[in-house]
Amino acid sequence: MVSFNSSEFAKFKIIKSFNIEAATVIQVPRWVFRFSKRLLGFGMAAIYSLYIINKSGGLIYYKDYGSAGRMDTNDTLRVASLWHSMHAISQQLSPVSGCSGIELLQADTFDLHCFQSLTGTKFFAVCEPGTQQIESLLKFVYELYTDYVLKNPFYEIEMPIRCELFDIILTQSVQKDRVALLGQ
Amino acid sequence: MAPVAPRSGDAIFANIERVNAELFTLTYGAIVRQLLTDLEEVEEVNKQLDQMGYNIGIRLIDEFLAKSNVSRCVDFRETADVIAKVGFKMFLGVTASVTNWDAEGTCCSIVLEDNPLVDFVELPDNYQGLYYCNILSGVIRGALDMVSMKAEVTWLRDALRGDDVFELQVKLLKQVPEEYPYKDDE
Repeated sequence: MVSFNSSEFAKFKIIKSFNIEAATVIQVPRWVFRFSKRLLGFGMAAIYSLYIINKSGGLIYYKDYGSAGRMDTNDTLRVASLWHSMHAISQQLSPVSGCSGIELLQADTFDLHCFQSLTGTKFFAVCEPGTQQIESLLKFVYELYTDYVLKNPFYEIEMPIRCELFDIILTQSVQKDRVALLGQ
Repeated sequence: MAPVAPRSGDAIFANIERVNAELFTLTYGAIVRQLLTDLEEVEEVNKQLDQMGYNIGIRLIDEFLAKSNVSRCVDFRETADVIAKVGFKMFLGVTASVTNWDAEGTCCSIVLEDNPLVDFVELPDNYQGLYYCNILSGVIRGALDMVSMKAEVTWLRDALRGDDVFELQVKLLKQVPEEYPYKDDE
């Protein structure tokens, strides 16, 4: 494209500030633009990181969204298997039967939301304390996982996820979610 | 979070991306035909179709759960009902009925009156042993396997072999408990 008209240019600028790859520019919906001014004032991310662990507790996907406290690969693997065990123990601790494990862990500096599918795959997100709507985001991530990971014939079940399409779409939805949160 | 209400098969079917039915039927036909050419033995083809179905089922169950919002079923009766009413509708666009329950509630028949897989199919004499839709039984077996139910799925009636409908028998062999094998004394 040789020239930008003004709205396209504005869009481009927002994308730059989001630090998304240029390839995703066209897919960002128009309403993102409406929140842009408010958004540029906020530097902090709502979601710090996202994990997917398989039914045996192995980390199959990790994505970091926050800047602070970035962890190396070994740390993330440890967190994943630790969470898997804690989740299992919490089910045993429950005084009533049929407990499906911890759904939300609240700490003073972060919240951890966990969603476990009936097939045993766990999705959990570490985010700012008090962040809303993470349950529905995790549910949505589950849908993306079924569409872009499980339907990829070259993805081997239970193995680490290396699917570019999933990455791209996930980045978009998390960004969108962040925008929606800040726009409230 | 308030639990989201389960969606009906029709509602999901309306919202999901669909492929042209004829393309689907013909593609499946091509697969079966190719398997017959490659494997030569009808029995082997049945086995292969079942295995392919199983591989599909273990992935498809997650999509089913994610998009239908169904929660854990209380018993196998509910499971069978959900498969027939929501599952078949969501993925094949047809509904099936559940009949012939045994006394224990572990074995039932899923009856398909309409089956898009066989729209243009006539089974020739030399392939009479072929279960043309064996992929479906594999899918159900694989899907149930992932939600910790070991099941056996067999065809009782097959419209391609002269019966009036398709009838799948689903027999629950055992329910694998999901709890971790904790044994405090070991």
